Amino acid sequence: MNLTVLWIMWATYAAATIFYWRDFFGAERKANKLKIYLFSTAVAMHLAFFIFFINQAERLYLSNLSEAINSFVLFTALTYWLLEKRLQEPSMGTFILPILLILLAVSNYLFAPSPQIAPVLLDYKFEIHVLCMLLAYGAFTLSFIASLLQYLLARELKKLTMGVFYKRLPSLDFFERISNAAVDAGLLFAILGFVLGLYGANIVWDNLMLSDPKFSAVLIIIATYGFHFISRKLLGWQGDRAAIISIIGFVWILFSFLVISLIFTTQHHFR
Amino acid sequence: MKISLHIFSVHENEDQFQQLPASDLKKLDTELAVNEWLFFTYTGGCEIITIAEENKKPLTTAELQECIAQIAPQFSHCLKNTRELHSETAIIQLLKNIAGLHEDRSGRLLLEPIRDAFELAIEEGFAGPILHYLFQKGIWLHEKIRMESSYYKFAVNPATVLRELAGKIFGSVKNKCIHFIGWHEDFQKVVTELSAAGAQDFLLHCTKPRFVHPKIRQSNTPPSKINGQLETADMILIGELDSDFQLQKSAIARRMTAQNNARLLICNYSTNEKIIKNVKRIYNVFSYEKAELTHLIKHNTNSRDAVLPDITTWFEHESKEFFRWLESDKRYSFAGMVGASREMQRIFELISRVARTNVTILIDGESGTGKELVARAVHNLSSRSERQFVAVNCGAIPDALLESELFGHEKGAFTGADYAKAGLIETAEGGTILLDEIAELQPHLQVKLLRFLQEGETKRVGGTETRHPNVRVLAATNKNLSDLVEAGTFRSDLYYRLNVLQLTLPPLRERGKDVVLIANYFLKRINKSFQKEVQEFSSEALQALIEYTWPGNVRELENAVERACALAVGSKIAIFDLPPALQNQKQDSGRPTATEVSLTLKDMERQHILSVLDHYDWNYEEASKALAIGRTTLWRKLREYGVEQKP
Repeated sequence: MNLTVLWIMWATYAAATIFYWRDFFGAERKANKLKIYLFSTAVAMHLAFFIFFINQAERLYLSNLSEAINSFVLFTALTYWLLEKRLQEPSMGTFILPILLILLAVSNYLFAPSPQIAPVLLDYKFEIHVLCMLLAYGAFTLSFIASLLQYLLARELKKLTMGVFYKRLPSLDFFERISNAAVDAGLLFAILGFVLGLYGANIVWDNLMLSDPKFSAVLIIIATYGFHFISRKLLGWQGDRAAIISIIGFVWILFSFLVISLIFTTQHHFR
Repeated sequence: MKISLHIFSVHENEDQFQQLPASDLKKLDTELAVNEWLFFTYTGGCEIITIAEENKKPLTTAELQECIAQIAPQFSHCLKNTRELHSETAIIQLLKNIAGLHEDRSGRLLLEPIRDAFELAIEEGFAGPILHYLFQKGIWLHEKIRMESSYYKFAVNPATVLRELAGKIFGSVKNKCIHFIGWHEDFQKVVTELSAAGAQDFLLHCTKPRFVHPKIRQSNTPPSKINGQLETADMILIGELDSDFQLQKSAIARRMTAQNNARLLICNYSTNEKIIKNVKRIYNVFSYEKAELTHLIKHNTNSRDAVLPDITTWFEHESKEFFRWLESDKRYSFAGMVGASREMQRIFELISRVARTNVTILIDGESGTGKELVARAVHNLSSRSERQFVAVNCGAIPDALLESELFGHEKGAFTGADYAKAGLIETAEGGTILLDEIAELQPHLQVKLLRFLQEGETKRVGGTETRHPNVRVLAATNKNLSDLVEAGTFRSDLYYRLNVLQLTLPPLRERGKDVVLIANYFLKRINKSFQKEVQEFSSEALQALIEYTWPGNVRELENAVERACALAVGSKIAIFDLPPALQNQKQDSGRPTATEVSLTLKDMERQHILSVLDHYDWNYEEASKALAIGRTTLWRKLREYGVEQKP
């Protein structure tokens, strides 16, 4: 797979990001369709790349950190694209796209033209495990952005500072609904991915590898978002409190996804 | 014609100026002695707009005050505050008032009282073409501002600010319970605003309620016990209370527990800032003092004012357009149409109002009433005017071709489809399409059109790709579509989809003196193209035009004027220049009319020769035989009457 294609894709996402930012932070908000067209083009290119890869390599694009990040960006972008189409509210794109852009740059930087793939990674059970985890992380990313915007808007509303978030964002309720729905869906995928991971680990390593930092990291993620779910349902936590849990959860995801993977290179491997 | 336009506005602290009764307005009309005028009142003031020809001595403030003091003494005490504006300033001010840029002390747009007063002024004959023009332009500007600027989106009064805050916090206020504690003058407007946003549950805790609203439940709870009744509240609005009241932290804590920490909005409209002092820091509680709301209003007003310069240029442009219009002497014309009748002015106003929206319009009316002109006016006044206007006559294209004409076709879709072709709907991308004679549309095309109107989707004939052209659809018909729906020949769902707004054009016979206006308009235009110097219609010809029933409507009138202009000798169109149908209506009465009696023998001869020529389709041989004169004599007589050839 040619790295140039990946950078062209990145450039298209970057162009869309510029227009999203210009629209959000500009003097007067304009219904600029160009940003949607650019974003749609980037997602379409990305999807085409993913499908083309599956056709060519007969496996999903998930087998190393670079591929996993790339696919994560695709799933998150695709989910957000559908969400924006449905809700007709582009403000979240202003903040999601830069994150995706950075992750895609990291993925391109780590790109290996012909990676050595351990045979176990070609097993469909592994692919489903990774797919579930990526979908969960994608959902948690959406929840993070929604919670962050909800938190910032709530601050401006409390103090009536009437800043850009007050002017540009819809209601607190809007972001809370998105955040909660994303956490619920993400939690489901995370648990499913975790269970499949346990099953796979049992086969690959013949026992549960409790010392694997990924194992602990995912457990913490599930515990954090599980607490988000329970506190909402049982303790009646809404608004800022739920938003802060979601923000903390996402910071931990970034840490586990990037830092742990890059530092503990000898762990969570399948060779 | 030059005019002087004055606005006399009075601002007073009185809450309500009463509108003068029609009888007083009639007296005022006589006293003012101006061409057109309008008087309207609003909370905190009133305005009088007078329009007079410039050669008349303009009305001074003192004269106006005297007039009003005589007729409506109740106004005399506040007339000292009269402010006078004239010329361009006055026009811009009036346009701004109509466009809804100004509001009265109660927060109501001045557009509303102006509209009511304008209706009355038309009814009583105080408003003429100039006020009509300004009113239509004002309405059109209102729509332009609404669609193309954020000006109206700013919340600039306590009620709209609260609605905005509630919207930011709750999203929808539909199922929210709003508690009012005590009384404040803004509460009534708050109820109106929140009701408009969907709120239905209002509870007023007040021992002496100052207003009654059908949606408000009253609670006579004494202030000391109100804290115990707030568990259902989503919004608490506190006004002035007769006795001491403080919102207790424990009451709010109880409410938060009862509603699972759902967000709570508290607003203190009273001057006592201690009332909500303790609750500010509670989690998920958004509490505001009146001063904070005032600050927000000020901030929004400043933001709104920042977009004002752009809007002001629109008003200045329209003001200049107004003066150009005055000088052009197109007093009764509107976007290429002519009409002074009430019905047509109403149509012009509707066009001004809906042109800038994307609403589908069904234009109906008899043949020749100007349906296409209306469609073009809608297009030209819309934001799509830069793009194409495509008119399709559904009745003129064979059924087999209409589908591919409208929706396009792919290469090889049918025999002869050697290349792919975009349909007219696609061609009109970004613009407007007029589907004339829509009643002639075949059932299978009705289904396809309905799909386009509902889903915005089209598919070319023989194609699989779904397209989403951005086109505004206007439809026209001379048939009664609802009758066709009943008869089962026109789909009811398509009819309802097309009939979002119906513009019914009146037939010419019902437009009174519009006939004369339109005839003069055509005369000027045709005169120019024929390079003749016909200036006017003779009084008999005008009478004939007015009395005729015009089954062919404006189109027939245009043809009649064209013919008359071609036949006319000198500067006037005589009765015998008009088509026989118009002349014959006189003969039907049996006795010769005054017009006929006044004709000279030469006039009669000319008229008879032309009638005979018409009868024989301008065959000189046949006509000369019928007239029992030689061909040379016929030629000579025609030359004498200035008729060189068949018009």
